[in-house]
Amino acid sequence: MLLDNLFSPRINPPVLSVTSGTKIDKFIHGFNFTGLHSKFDIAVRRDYKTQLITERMKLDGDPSMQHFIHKVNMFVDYDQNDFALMSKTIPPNLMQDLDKTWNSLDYASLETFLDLFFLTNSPINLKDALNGVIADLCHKYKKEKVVYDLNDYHKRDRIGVWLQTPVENKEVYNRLCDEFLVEYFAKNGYGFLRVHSDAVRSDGFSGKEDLNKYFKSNFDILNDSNRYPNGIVAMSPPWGYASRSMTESRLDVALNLRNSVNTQDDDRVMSGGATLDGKKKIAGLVIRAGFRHMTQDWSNQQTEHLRNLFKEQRDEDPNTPQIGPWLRGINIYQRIAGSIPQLMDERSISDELTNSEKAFRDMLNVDLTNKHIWGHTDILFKLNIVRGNKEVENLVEKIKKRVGSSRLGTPKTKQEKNDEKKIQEIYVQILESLFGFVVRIKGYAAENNYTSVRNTLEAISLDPDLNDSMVKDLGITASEYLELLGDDENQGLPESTMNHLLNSMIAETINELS
Amino acid sequence: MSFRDLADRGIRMLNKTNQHHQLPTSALEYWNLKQKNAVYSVEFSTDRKEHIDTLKEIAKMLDTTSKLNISTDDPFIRKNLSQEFRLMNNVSVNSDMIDLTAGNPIFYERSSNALDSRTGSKLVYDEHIKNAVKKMSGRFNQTGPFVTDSTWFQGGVKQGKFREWLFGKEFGLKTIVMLPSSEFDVDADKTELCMFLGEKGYDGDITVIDYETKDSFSFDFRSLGYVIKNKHLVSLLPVLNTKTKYNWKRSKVNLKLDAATGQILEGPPEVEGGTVKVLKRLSLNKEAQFYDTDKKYVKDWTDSDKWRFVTGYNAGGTHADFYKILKGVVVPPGVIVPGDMWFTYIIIDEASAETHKNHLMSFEVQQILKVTRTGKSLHTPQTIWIPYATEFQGFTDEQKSIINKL
Repeated sequence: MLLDNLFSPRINPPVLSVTSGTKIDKFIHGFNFTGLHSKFDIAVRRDYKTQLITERMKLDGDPSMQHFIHKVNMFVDYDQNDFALMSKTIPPNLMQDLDKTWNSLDYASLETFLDLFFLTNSPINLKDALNGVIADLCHKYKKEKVVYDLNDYHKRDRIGVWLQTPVENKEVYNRLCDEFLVEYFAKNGYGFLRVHSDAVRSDGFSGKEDLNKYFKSNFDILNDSNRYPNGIVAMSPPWGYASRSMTESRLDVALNLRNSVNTQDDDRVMSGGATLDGKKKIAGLVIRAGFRHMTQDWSNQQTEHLRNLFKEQRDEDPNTPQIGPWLRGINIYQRIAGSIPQLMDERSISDELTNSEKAFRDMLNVDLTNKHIWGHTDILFKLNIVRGNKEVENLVEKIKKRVGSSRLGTPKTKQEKNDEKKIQEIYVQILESLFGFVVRIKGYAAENNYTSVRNTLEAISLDPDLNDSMVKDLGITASEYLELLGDDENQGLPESTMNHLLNSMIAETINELS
Repeated sequence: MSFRDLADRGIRMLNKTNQHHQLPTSALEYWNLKQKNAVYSVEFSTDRKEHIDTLKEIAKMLDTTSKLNISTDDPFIRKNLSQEFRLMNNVSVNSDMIDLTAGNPIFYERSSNALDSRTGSKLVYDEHIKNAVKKMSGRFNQTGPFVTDSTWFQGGVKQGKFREWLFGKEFGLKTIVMLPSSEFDVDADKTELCMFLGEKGYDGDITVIDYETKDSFSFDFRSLGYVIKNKHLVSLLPVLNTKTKYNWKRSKVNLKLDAATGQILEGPPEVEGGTVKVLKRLSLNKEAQFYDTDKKYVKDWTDSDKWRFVTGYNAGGTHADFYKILKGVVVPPGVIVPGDMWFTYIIIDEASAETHKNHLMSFEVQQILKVTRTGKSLHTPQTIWIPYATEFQGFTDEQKSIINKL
């Protein structure tokens, strides 16, 4: 009884000023993990704000919005020209794989790479980027009832940087710091904070649970404008789940320099409060950078980010249209190699979201090397479109044999070219058929407020009648479809794009009707 | 393109695979939607945008006192349609109160155990249409329009029963509209679709209308027992009709050849000096090819002791020529005719063998088949309108002139 009172919903539930990714689920899970209150209802405690809510609040002139932290994503392309501007040559490693570069301890390459962001007057100097973002945001929202005075936020001298690397081994982490990073950042005017369990303990804290205290204590120590005139860099720890309850407001920029993305880790910069130089904080800037191989590399990530945001708004309000007030809250910068980052305007964002043909193309983007999909020929053979068609079955078997082998090169013979063409046609037909079923379940998804293909299929898998109907329509069960979607480790069908198609179709139907 | 238009592409692929088609907009021209206080029902509905638009059109055309019901047995389609029509007060989904029905049912249903496209499927369109008519309250007499493949015009045993039911008073077939295949996502060379309407108790002439040209003619097809869709042939064919029909048969002997080399992959092997001849290939404008095998390799001797005229599937022929019997050979007793190579044969006597061959491959027969044949495989119902060569006197000049115009 006492515990029930203690853990009953609070009058003022915690508010986390983030607009994507992090909710306070992890906090609740932490609670539940103690075993003291195993049935804690997340829904009661959760109070996070989506773009939709915050934009409505801004339009209403809610004064609390002056303290709101805007999330800003910047997708940065770089190429040889950016390095040429610094009179350097791009190391070959940086044109390939960031994870390998870090773990190979190739300091020469890393130094050149970090110079892009930390050297004064470098093409993407973080301080300049942050100040540019702040000026743009104040300008963007200047006509609203909520007043953002540029002088309160702009001209940041000292910033906090959350450096995200792929380093997972503590020994490698320490070597990197000792042999290179501490000196490098000191040379460039940044204090450096290493973050891992040994470092925490050696400072007299008990471990990961004291991460927040450790952080604040060290930021206080490193907050020395004479020694470190540009700010502090903290490097993400070498453990997977880095977030914990770390709420250091003095972090301004999350710099993701690894191949993968962890949205929770990105949100380390989203805590409101004091900054290193005493200015007000208006934004948490998340930068993802990569070498441009193909022109669409980074725009794909950007598109996916936008599509996921739309799903998040529908989670909040099932009646959200694709184009609505929430678009104003999206702050995305696109930085094309060799140029200045540009804030995407509302029109470009809405064009991106409503480009159905592009979404369709993305879904049908032929990937004949996907081991996960072609590893499930047993399921593919059950699809109505494949079942009983010997020619198709033979071709599917052919693809299966070729995936992962050296035979994936350009087809040489006429026969191979013919096969290749047929295989691509069949692949498209299979995907169209699977997409067709996403269309078929949209009414069911809308009725139950599901915003993802995965959740909808999971619900169908629990209902024998719906499952039977699905087999009749498509040829496979919901569980088998879920197998094709894959999981975190094995990417199968393009789930994010399929979710976007599902949500957009529902939103369009609802809006047309109303 | 909107996401809803895009959705149509996905549904289209799913529907095409499952042979699930919509009620076409052409139905609006022939369905009397002006009844008062009536519940109209569109059965076997799909969630294709095109179909939804047609349904919306129907709902708008109804009298203010009438309602539209949309019927489907697929729970997902039901939910999609419920969402689409949630703001239209005169539309319901899966209601039991129905006065008038129409729709386009699936033609056959594939069993979930079916291993290939030719097994485990059963024709279901007839039962679906019968059940839809049974659902009617009895307040009104009009039946249909229903849409389906026109194979039931002549068809086999099951189609015959369905045809009798349509001619009967329960459906009272009155009008048949030949539809352009462009209204459906179907292979126009293989499928010919028609829409038919009736009036309970009606037993008069049946009118056939060409939807595109609006040409029409009426005939007492009830007495004939079949429907002939061409107005030139409708008076000619009953006159030419002979008692004996060409009865096409296929053996159960398997034979598979390598397309490039002609090597035998499956079936009785070639034996040099073997005593049994096997038909190997029947090609256009070429002599038929045979090979020798041994008795011990032949398991099925059905009809091998008879004279036969053999023809085959026009694998290399153009789509436009699919209806023609373009190649044929007379084989004497003792020759094995495999069935797996799409060879099909009729039994004839030696004396009239060449007469049958010349007749079946004649211009006049091809012309009749052009109008009456509905599929690439040759079964007995496909040639019921071809007079038996030895039972008729040949085409008169007047008949030839009509046939020439087809």
